[in-house]
Amino acid sequence: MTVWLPRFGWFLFRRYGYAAFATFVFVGLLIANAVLDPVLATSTGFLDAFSTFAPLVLLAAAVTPSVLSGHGGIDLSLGPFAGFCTVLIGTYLNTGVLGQAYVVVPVVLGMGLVLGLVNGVIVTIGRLQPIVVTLGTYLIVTGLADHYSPGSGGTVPGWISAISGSWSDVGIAGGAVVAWLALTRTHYYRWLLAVGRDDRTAYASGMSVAAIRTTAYVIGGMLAGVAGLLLTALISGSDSTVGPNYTLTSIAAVALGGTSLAGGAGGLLGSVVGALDIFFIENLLTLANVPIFSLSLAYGSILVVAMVINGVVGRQSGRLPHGLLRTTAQFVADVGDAT
Amino acid sequence: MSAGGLPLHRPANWARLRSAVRREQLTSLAPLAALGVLFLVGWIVVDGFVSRNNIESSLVLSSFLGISAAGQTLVVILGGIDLSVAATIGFGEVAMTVLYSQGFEVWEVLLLLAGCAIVIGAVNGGIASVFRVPPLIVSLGGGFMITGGVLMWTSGGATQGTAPQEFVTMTSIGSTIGPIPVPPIVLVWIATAAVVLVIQRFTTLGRNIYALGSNPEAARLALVQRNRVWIAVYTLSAASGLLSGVLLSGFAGGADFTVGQPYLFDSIAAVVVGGTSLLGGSGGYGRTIVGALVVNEIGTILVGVGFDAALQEAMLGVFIVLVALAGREQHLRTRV
Repeated sequence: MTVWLPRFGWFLFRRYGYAAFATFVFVGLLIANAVLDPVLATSTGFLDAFSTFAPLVLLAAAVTPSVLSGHGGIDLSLGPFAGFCTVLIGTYLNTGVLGQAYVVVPVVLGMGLVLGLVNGVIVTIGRLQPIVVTLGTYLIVTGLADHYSPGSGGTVPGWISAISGSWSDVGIAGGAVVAWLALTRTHYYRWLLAVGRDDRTAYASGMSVAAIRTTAYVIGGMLAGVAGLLLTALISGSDSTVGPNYTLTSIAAVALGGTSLAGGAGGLLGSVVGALDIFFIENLLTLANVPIFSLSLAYGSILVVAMVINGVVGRQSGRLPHGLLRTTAQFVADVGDAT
Repeated sequence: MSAGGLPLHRPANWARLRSAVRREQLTSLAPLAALGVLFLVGWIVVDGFVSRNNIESSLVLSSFLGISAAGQTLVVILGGIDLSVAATIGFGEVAMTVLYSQGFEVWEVLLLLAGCAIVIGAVNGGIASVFRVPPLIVSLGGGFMITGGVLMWTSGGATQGTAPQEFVTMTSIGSTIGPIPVPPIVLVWIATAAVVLVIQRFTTLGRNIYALGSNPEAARLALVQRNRVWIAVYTLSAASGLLSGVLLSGFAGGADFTVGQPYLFDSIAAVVVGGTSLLGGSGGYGRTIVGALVVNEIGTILVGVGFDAALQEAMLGVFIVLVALAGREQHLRTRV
């Protein structure tokens, strides 16, 4: 046996161990879904499924930086913002020059940046609790979307509706995730985790806690802008009611992905896997012909049970100071070193 | 503070600490000031704001919000949050309307709902406490479970039925308590407030809630039974949601599960606007009473000014942030 393999396992665990449970569940769900729903394994089936879950995946990713930034950090306003994007594109940015990609994309990302900046600045300079601030902006964004919404319908430029169900959907979502992965190679990511873990220590070490936190909200806002584009592509129109539903689900995905809601531990890839778990659970419940009225009962129970197992296996809980998985991974690595 | 041992001198930032304490005392009055200012604004801007009709309807609506936010306040002091409140309100409303129409007595339904409150509290609080799962997620899942349960029971939630006449009279604008021209639901709110204030102030449970909210580790060393407290508090939260739902059955007129939806965020807004910190360990229900009145007043003014429903929502968001600014936290440097 090569010696590097157990070490590599330990390295993987330390970097992505927080998402181990979500990944196990994901693999199981993927097999179950592929068996029960063979269409998923075809190219069109996969692309259709992808365009359905892409907005949730990106919104879960978008909430993650604010959660990582700690001190009760959370961004409730991102789901409504994705809905706001559908109204913006479906009602205003759909004809002539305004409907061109080089106008729509910067405008949507710019709005996300502004929303993140507003949230971040009120949280840090205003020193309010993030859940209050983003609840406020949640209501503001929802209200504005409703106010400017043409009811239902609206038209979107052809190039946006063409995204849905094509490989460019995968490309855009993948691009956003790769951009984040590049960011994790920078100092900023370490600062973010340090601030999230203990902002007082970070402050005493000379970090600009306010700037680091605000940037986390800005990154989240821009990721939500990408989610808004893909959501517009998915529904091919404007709908102000669709956004708020994503808020609580995306937070559930973040928690399921192993990111600590207390901040400073976890990561964006876990949230992506957590969101995929939620999508495949819903898909499986639909495939299994669970009656529509008991869907939310099943969904709620699964969410709670999954979080309980997640807590026992992966993270610190009262009785298992290091978690089962951590102890095992470390043991394997040590044995590997010894041989 | 010095790292080892107790400080022998006054800390260097003593003056700053003193002024921080003074500011803390002042900010506790800010929601009351906001209540007064908003009342004056409403008086000037909105026609008929200070009419008997409007004041009574404000009191009725604030009562629903205040009762829903009673349990939420205790949960927030404990350091948690309860997102299942919308579902418990809907459950209480549907249960009272449907079961009463099927021939159950009011007290029988209330007894049944009290049992349900214990079950909901044990699931929400117990799982959050024993397994250290974030309460946000547990109560979110708990809310889904209640929603699913009610939808299965009523096959879709839209059920016929009429609420007991007592609750209709209790919540209708224009009804009186004997000679006093106030809807009787206000009495229920006052009774609820009395119970919650006594629990929070004069009982062991109340002290344990503050102890766990401000420092769980210290509370553990002081032999506070964490799991029991969490279950008790989430039970109280479920009970206040169910009570609010039962009362809403008289206001809504028929079985409607969605009646609880607005209270999910409004109850949190009332708690926060009142000045209870979401970080736990401080605040209290007295503040939430003011918070509920303020949130309701903002709504009334926005309707009176003539904003459509969408803009009302947006402006409510602005107001929540503005009012909350009064109770902003200390700068990080004071906590290092």
